[in-house]
Amino acid sequence: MTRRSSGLLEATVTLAIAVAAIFLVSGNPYLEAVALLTATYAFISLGMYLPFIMGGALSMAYNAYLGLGAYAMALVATRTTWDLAWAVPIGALLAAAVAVVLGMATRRLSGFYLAAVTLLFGIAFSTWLVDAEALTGGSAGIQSLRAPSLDGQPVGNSVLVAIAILAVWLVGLLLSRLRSSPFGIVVRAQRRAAIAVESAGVRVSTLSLVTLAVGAMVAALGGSMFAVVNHAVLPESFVVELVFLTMFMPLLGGQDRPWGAILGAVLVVTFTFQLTFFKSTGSLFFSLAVLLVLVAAPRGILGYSMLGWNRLLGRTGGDSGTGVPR
Amino acid sequence: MATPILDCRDVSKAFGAVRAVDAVSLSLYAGEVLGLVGPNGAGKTTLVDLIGGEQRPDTGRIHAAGRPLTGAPSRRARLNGLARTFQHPQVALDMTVRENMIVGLVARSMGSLGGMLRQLVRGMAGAGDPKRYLEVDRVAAALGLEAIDRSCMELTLGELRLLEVGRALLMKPALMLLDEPFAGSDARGVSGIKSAIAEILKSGCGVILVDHNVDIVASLAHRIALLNLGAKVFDGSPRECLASTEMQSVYFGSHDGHAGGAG
Repeated sequence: MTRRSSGLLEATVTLAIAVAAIFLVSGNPYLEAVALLTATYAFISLGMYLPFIMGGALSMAYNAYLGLGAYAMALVATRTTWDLAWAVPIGALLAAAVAVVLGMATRRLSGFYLAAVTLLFGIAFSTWLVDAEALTGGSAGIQSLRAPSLDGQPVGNSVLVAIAILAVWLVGLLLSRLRSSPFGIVVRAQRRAAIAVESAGVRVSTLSLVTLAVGAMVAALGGSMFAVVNHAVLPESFVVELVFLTMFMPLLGGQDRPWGAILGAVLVVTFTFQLTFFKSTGSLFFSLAVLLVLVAAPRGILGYSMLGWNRLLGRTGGDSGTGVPR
Repeated sequence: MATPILDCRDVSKAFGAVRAVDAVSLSLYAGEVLGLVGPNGAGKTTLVDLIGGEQRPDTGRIHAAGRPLTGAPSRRARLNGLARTFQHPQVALDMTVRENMIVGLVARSMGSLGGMLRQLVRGMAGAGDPKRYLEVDRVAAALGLEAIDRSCMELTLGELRLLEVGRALLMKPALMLLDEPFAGSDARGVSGIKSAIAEILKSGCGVILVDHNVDIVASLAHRIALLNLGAKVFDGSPRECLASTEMQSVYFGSHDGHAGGAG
């Protein structure tokens, strides 16, 4: 199978799953809320995919990037008469700018120290959201965001949730393509052989900044979606704990492809927030599940499934992924 | 006389009280193989790192193709036509051979922020199928690297060195620095690297070949520079070098004996 046809198959199958999810939740406000929460986690998880899973740069400030996207939407919706669509690039660019500044400030740090400094920023950001009352509404947040409109008619939540699901699919597809591209190959190579990549002519620190900025933009997109569907933003939605939860999603779902990050988000939201049986012990169950997956299937559930599928078809080779349609 | 593709003048580097490279001058012309030999601690790898931009010299100057390179970062050395391999292979082991080699082919297009952003957009648009880079298959075949879609974890040390040479070849360099390419290589690996050197020379490049094995270096080099305790003690043809009193003295501590295979 050529890369073009396998890419088409990947896009078609994943789009079919996204459309099925839309039909499943559409019209049921409870399921729509669950889908929105899943999509929001998926955006953070996808945001971390390029810089962290592919590039090895662990930033912990994703709650801040999500918050910047959400508060940009809230401020545009409540303090301007602009079309709400403008809030999306504003939030994304703000988040990218913060990611670049943070990345430049910590460019000599890596591993634990990069994570520690960005974690500190993430904590400071959530505190700032409460303190900067004049801008953010303090602990009460910003309420009563106007709904987006199309030709003068307000767009309903079902449509917005469908758009959020399709946006997750699109970002997943773009990242999946990126992973196998020359750009993705160089990003992955610098994780283990930075000296060789630098010596080949690429400024690794700049490349890292680019990946951090793209990741922040993806997370901010999730924040904008979250705010517009909820018609409100609250500071407690952007605490640093959600980054801890999110960073394990690709480990659970599978690191070889961005779809694993989305699968991880679906599993986490299902187990920690949905199943009555696990409601009180959801986090504990999640921790055990991550441990179990890391021991039994280090490539994550999706990676392991695709490995089995490829063996069944007798396929070998390909890129260093598991052979999901490339 | 033609401009040398590499010209080092009085290059020195010290680590504390140890003078790792001591006022070394050497030059290299297109189509020439310069062997750099010497016992452990002679300063060979430090000199290669200074030329490649991995380290900055304390004093002296380095020019590549007439352009100053002294203390420039390694990526600028790359932009001036230098490519290198490493004493300890620098390979992403969790990736395939093809992917590691592609880095050599595409890295130049990502040498600036604009280039990175262009490749980012192209990647998202689905352009740049790794299997379309036929140059990678051609170079791999020329080096004897087989099954290049396998993981690098399956490679022997010799194959890893071949991969590094292949990645460097794909950069289409004017000067190749090969740091101990034969260490740990089996007969096939040695033959692959010899083919690589022949291929580099065909395109008019120069090669600096660093290795402990004086016999192999002497069989491939047009000229040999002998280093000892950081200083260059001899520079001449392989035959002259092998017969020189400096070679006998460095390897055997006397004027008698034979230096072949030392190291």
